[in-house]
Amino acid sequence: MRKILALLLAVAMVFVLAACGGGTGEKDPGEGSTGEKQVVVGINADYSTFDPAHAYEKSSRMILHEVYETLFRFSAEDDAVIENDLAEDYTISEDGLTYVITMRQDAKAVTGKILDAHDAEFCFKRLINLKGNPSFLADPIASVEATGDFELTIKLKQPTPAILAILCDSAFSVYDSEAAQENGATLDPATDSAQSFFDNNSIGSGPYKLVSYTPNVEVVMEKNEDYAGTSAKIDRVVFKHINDSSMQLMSLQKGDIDFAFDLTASQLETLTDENIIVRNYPTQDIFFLHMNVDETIGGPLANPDVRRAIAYAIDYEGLRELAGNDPSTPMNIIPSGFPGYAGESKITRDLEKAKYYLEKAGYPDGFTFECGAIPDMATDGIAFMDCAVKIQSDLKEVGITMNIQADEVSVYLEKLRSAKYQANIGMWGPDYLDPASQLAFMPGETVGLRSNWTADMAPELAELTAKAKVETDPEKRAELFKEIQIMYSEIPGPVIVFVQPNRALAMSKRVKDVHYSSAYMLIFHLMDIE
Amino acid sequence: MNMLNYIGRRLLLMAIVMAGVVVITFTISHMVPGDPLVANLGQSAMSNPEIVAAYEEKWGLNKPLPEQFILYVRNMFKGDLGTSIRTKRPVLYDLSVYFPATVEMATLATFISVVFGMLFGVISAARRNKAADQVLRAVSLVGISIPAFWLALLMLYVFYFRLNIAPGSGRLSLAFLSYKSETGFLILDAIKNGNMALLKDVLSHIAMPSIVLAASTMGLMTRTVRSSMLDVMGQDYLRTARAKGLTERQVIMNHALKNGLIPSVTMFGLSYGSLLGGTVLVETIFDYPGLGWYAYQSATTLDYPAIMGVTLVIALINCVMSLLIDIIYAFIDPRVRY
Repeated sequence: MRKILALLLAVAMVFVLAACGGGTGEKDPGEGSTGEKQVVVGINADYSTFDPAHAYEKSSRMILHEVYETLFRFSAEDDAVIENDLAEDYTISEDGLTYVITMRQDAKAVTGKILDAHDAEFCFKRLINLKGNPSFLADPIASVEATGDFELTIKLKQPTPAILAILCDSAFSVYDSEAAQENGATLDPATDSAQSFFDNNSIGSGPYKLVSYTPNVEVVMEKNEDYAGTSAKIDRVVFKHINDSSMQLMSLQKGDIDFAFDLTASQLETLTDENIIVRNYPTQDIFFLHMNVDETIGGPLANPDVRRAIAYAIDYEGLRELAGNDPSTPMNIIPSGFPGYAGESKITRDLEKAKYYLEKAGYPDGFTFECGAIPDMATDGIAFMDCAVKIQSDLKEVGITMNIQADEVSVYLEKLRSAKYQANIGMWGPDYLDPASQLAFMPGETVGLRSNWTADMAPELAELTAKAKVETDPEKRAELFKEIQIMYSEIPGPVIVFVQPNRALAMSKRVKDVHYSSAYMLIFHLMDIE
Repeated sequence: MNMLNYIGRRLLLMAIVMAGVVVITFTISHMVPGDPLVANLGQSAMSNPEIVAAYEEKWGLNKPLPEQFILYVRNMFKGDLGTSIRTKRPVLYDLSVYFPATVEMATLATFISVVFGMLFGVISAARRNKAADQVLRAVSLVGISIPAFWLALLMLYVFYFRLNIAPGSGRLSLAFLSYKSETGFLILDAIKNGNMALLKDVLSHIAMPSIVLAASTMGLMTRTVRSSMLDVMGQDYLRTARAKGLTERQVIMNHALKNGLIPSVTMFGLSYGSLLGGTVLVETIFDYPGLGWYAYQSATTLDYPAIMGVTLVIALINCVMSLLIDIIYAFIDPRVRY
């Protein structure tokens, strides 16, 4: 017995010694094993695949944008500008239905193949046919066909001025179609088996190539030496999965990572490290109170005067303070940064007006309603529950009692989709960077229907929406979007937008030339380190 | 013969328990309000009926629940636990990736808790009501009552952030970027290939999560061993040993220890099973890619096949562990066979 105990203790001691000795064995994140430049990103990532036909998370787009090229892309300098990527030139038919795109002839995939229109045709058809998460982006497309080796013809179902912005999405990545087919890619969802191949390899012509993906651990991409554009300065980018924001903060302060993606507003506020810098980047996300306009579900909230009263009772300034990072409040559904943006909200808190409208609606003593919110979840550093609690206390001052219903995310989404909520705290990030993406809020459209707002309840607005969808003249289009916002506020619609946040990103000071785009997040191929 | 009968009976009971686990887990996970579609598809994709239909078809969500259940059981017997909705890989493959990491951590945690728990328990009993006893009792109480997530954050702050003697999160440092394990068990890999650098890196990463995981079991072990040692030490045969003129040290090491440690055998078995299934918080904080982490992610996205897979594995481990304990007990004490 004595010998056994002694042996166990000896093993324990060896373990403790080995464990304690290894603490500082990690390298400087800026230096890879052979002295190359390396950037390490700490992220609580939601990506689960890097197959362009299946991936739809924002974080996966950040990686796909680096490893694949698309026909068009948003400029790294300005999200509002669309520039050619694989496209060299394009023409639009007079009816706005046919796009003929001429492609560059120097885009060499990491497999060595020059990417052409046949590859693009296969990739787009695969996206459409597989009916994956991002396939809805291709809804406006009627057909796609290679009409030459480097000429692609896309026909649309109806004029869709947002199509160029849609084609910037990583879902429309172009890759070596032959290599993809060798690894199981087909145009039939029943037989396609290439997803696991795409998760561990990239076969595109972007500035980087995907080297490895270990779920919940890391993603590694390395410079593509054959990239036709300006070569990336960073040789290797590592996305290290760090779930907890405090752990991200500590790792950043210790210099183990260069970017901390998910710090909370309060962590960012108290960050005073001389080697760390916090930068704010605009987003097109909006946070809002969403009210059901079906009287049987929404109750008093179906009354426009009640919604007006609530709009005047909310303390927008307080909510902006809560969000931190210098956010703004747009008039309603179109965030700043989009053409047709109608400026900031003109409504400020006015309790007298709120009470006036309550009385007018027949609720002088207020009323009670239920509002769904997701607990323990934050986007852009803003916790949904914090917003709910703040609005709850704001409304209390005019006699409205808002009971918060904390629902886990899957339950929340289920109730939202089936339009069962009387009200809820919502957040929306555009599907693609074009104001047309926001038309989902209109009566009869995706988000509108979540509050049972049908087209016949606001026929004029529905008519304007239909016009805005197909208007190809940029100026007329912007005017239409402005009209939509004004009409939405006059009705008023079921959504009260209270914050358009900025994205605050904490990073090491040694990282230079940082570009951030709402569509692709960090742009690594333009980045450098000291 | 009696013994074989006993084991046979126990195995039959185990099969019944496992069948119950399958039915209950399947029913509960499918009855939870929420829809895996909304947890896994984007809002815009959700409003496209074609995408929804294709998704339901692909994951078999459009079939009636009993049919889904029969299909699941049939595939299970073929060794197919389905494909994870979230990771899109076979659940069996996912389990083969995440399970070894957790086994490694839980084994180490059990080892720490057993070694130090027994040591502290024996010292505590031998020095009853003296300073060493009071300190060790306080340590075991702290170990039992401190929440794991808090201890994890505290240890990270002190040993990683302040003192710089332990690495941060993960299972390996960046120096071993993209390392592909041969066995799934990194410690085994390192020993097998004589890779000392890898061994050191693995141990330095696994140390803190294992200690956090071990804390509460170690506290329990200390208290159990202490009280059973005190029981034993009050018995007549020890008084005889002392009367023979043996030193207190000899009395404890040669006579008391053997009997005093018997209850810790049961604790060892049960704690190993519960440690394997109870790593969710620790793995999440240390970003340790193990079974607990996988279970948490699967539950939040209503990934039915993965939830089922994880539950089955944990249930199986607990069944096997309690079976082993029962068999060992049956050997020690023949009365339980009847």
